[in-house]
Amino acid sequence: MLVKIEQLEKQYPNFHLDCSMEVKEGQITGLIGQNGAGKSTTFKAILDLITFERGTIQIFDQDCHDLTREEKCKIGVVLSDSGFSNYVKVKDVIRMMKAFYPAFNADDFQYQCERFGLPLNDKIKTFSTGMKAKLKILAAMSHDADLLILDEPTAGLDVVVRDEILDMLREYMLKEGRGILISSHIATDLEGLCDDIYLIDQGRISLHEDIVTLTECYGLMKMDETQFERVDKQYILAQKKEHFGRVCLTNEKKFYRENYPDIVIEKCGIDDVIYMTAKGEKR
Amino acid sequence: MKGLFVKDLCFFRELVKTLVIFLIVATMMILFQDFKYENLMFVFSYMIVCSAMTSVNLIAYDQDQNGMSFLLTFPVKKKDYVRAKFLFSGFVILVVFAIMWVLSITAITVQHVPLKWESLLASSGTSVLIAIVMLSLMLPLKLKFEEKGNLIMVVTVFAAIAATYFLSKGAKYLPIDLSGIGAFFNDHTKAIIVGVLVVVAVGVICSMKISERILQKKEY
Repeated sequence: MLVKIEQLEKQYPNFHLDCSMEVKEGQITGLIGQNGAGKSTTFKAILDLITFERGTIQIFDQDCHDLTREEKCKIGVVLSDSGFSNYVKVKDVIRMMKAFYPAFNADDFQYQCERFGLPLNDKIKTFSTGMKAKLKILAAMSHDADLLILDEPTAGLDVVVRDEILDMLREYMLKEGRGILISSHIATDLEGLCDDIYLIDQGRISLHEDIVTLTECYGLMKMDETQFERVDKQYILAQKKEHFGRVCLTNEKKFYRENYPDIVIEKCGIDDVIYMTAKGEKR
Repeated sequence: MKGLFVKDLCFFRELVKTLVIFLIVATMMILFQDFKYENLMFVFSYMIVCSAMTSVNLIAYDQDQNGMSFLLTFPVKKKDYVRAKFLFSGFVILVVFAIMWVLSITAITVQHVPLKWESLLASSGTSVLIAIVMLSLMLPLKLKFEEKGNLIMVVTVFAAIAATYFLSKGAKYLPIDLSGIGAFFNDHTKAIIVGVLVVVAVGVICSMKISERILQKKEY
């Protein structure tokens, strides 16, 4: 197990985080949720940047507070709200990374920077948001880490670069024993990338599914009020009133398709799950 | 630790231009003015204290763009960060100290002034101690209060100067003979130097421990 979070609890004046989750080897685990749902707080707790009241976090089967320098070298990190100082150049980043990480591959990093159009001799303060995001991702992947912890890594990137980065992440996963924990507000990124999805809502994990189940078993059912009255509601996770009647989220698409052929059942994306979990009435 | 040192070196390059300008002005003051030991020592102390303050101000670069949280995800421990800051500041003080010594000896030689080793050693040593004391005060303040740390430090220094001034002015009204203090210092110079060194060393250790605690408790 790369990361194991058990009953993590963190209290802020207006927010309570209560979360348990796992990141397994060979898997890309996605953490999704609305802004302020607790994604970044969870990431910061994993990285020992904040204290927490209760629970345990284990990374590489070690308590997250007790990681050695060697173990920390095996973690690559992208944080959504911070990165390299604006006052350094990419060349300085190379010097720093070389000094911090014994396994840092300077030649490859330099090649990737050139490939993604990051000038080596310009200060980071002259970079666009997208360029800064690229630099953070390239740095996280440059030192042969076994675990990538990526908080909103594709924020600010255009579609083409986002695809390239996602391909790089897939390529990164080809080596055995690696894993990624990633959050993104762009659900389509996660749909095409993750093996396992956690949905966090108001500080609590409200859903955990592997991506195959999510795409094959989850669906959105659209029905009028009479249909809604007679339908078996045991597999309805959330429902919401619409002008035509009701829209319901189910994790047993097949059951309803077989038993209620007159009900419209649509394919459900991660965005729909987030929307229904946040706005719908839960059963 | 090596990574933190390299990082500070990269940031220091940003600030070194200001120090170089100071150094050029100092060189001109020392070499092209009528030589006075007092002037030399003022410039010496000024440069040392400036270099110490410059190096501790690099914390602001670490804190830029919420950078501390990112930095702490690197393979470093919070106590490494504090130690590296002291180490780097010590390195900067040492380099400037060496430059100022070369400059002082050059000025003394060029201006054909008799070399007073003891005076030069005492004054330069004192300036290093002052720099270390200021560094020890600044580091925890900067870590705890970030940008406000500078302001708190300035207020503290002014308060200390004002207190010393008023104490010295008010001392003549006290029933104490202060002339004895000078004689005491002359009689026990070595013991006082050792005492001061011990106090400064303890101060540095305390500052490191306090800074470590501040960093441990701080959330990013």
